[in-house]
Amino acid sequence: MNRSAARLCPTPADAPGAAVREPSVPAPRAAIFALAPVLTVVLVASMAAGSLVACSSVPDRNAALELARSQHATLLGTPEAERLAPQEVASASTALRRAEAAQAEGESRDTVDHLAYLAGQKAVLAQAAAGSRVAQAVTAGAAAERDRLRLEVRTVEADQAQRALRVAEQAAQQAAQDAARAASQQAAQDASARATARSSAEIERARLAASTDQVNSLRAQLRELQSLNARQTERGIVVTLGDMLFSTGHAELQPGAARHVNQLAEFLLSHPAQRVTIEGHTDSVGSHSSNMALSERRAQSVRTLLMSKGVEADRLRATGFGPDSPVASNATQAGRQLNRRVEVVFVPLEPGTASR
Amino acid sequence: MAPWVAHAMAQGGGPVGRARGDPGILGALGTLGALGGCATAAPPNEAMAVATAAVNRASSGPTAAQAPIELRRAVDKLAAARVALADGRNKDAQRLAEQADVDAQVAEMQAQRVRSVLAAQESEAAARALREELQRKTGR
Repeated sequence: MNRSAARLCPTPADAPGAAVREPSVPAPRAAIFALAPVLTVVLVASMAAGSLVACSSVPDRNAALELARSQHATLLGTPEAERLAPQEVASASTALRRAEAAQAEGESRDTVDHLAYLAGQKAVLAQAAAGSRVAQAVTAGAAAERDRLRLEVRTVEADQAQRALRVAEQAAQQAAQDAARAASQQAAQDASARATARSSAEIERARLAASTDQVNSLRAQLRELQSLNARQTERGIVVTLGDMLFSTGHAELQPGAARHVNQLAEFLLSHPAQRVTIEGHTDSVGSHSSNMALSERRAQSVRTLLMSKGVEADRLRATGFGPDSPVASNATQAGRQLNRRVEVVFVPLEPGTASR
Repeated sequence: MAPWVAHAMAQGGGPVGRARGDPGILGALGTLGALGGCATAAPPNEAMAVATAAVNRASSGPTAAQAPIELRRAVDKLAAARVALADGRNKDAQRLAEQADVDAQVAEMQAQRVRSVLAAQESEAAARALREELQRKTGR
C-alpha cells in the first residue's frame, strides 16, 4: 500500500506544499458554520496534499487527521452540540478515535486519510445538526412568543373593544337620557305652557262667560223688571204697584194684584242676592197719621205676600211714607191716584255680589 | 501502475491547485489517489447500496437549493465509487461509497440548518412585529 501510494507521489515541485495547512484555531461557531463548505474543501485538499506530504518523508504528520481533530475540537467547543446532537457528536468522536487509532497503529496513509475524512465530516455533520436544532429551538421559542403575543394582542384588542363598547353604551345611554330629559323638559314646558294657556284661556273664557252671564243676567233682569213697569231712578230700579191693587182705605191686595206680585216673587227667587225695600205711599186725603199707618200696612201686606211665595224675610224691608213723597199733584183725581202706590225699590247690589 | 490513475488525473486536471474550484471532483480524485492500487477486497455491495440511498434521498429533497456544493460532492463521489467498482477496485469503491454516504448526510444536514436558521429568523421577525403591534396598541 505505502509503496503503491509512494509511487503515486508527484515530484515535490508539483506538490503545492502551501496547501498543507496547520489546522486553524477554532473559530466562533457561526464562522465555522459559514465556513463549513470551505473547511471541507480544505480537508479534501489536505487529504490529497497529505498523501503527497507522506511522500516527502514526514510520516508522523497527517494533515487530514489534523483537520479532523480541529473540526472535532470546534464541535466540542460548541456548548449546545453535546446537548442538542448527542448521537452525532458521539458518532464523530468514535470516528475520530478510529482515525487516531489507525494512525497510531501505523496503518497506511490512505486508510488514515479516509478515516480522518469520515471523522471530519461527521464533526461537520454534528455541528450542522446542533446548529439546526438551535435554530429550531429559536423557532419554537419564537412561535411560543408569537402565540403569547398574539394572545396578548387579542386580549388588548378585546379590552379595547370592550372599553369602546362601554364608552359607546354610556354615550348612548347619556344621549338617551339627555334626549329623554330634553323631551320631558320640553313636554313639561309644553304641558305647562299648554296648561298655562289653557288655564289662562279658561280663566279668560270664564271671565268672559261670567261677564257675559252678568250682562245677560242684567239684561234679562232688566227685561223682567220692564215687564213690571220698572224704571231706573237715582235710588235704583223701582217697580210701582198701582193703587188699583188695593181697595180704598184697605191694605188687602185685590185679586188682580196677584199677577204682579207673582212676577215680583219669581224675580226675587231667581236673584237670591237681590234685596228690596217696599215703600207704601198715600195721597193727602185724610189725616197724616192715618195715611202713615195705611201706607205702612200696605207695604207690609206686599212683604207678607212675597214671603208667602218663598222670598226670605231679611231680603225684604217694608216702610210707610204716608203722603210725604207724592209723585203727582194731590189737587186732581188723576194726581191723587198716581200718589196712592207701593213702590218696590231694588237695592243696588254690593260689588262682588253679582247675581249667581 | 493502474491505468485508472492516469484517467483520474486527466479528468481532474492539476492535483490540488483547482481543489477550491471543484471540491467534489478533486476530493474524489485525491482520495482515489490515496486509495489507489489496493483492489483485493470483495465488492462493497452494502456500502454502495447505503451510499446510493443516501445520495438519492439528498438529491430528491430540497437539499440542492440550500447546500448545492455539498450535494455535488456526494454525487460525484458516488459516481467515482461506481467507476472504481466497475474497474474492480473494490477497496476504493468501498471507501468512496462510505465518503459519499457521509457527504450526503452532511449536505442534508447543512441544508436543514440553513432552512432552520431562515425559519428562526422569520419567526423572530414575526414575533418582533407582534411585539411592536402590541406596543402600539397598549402605548407602552
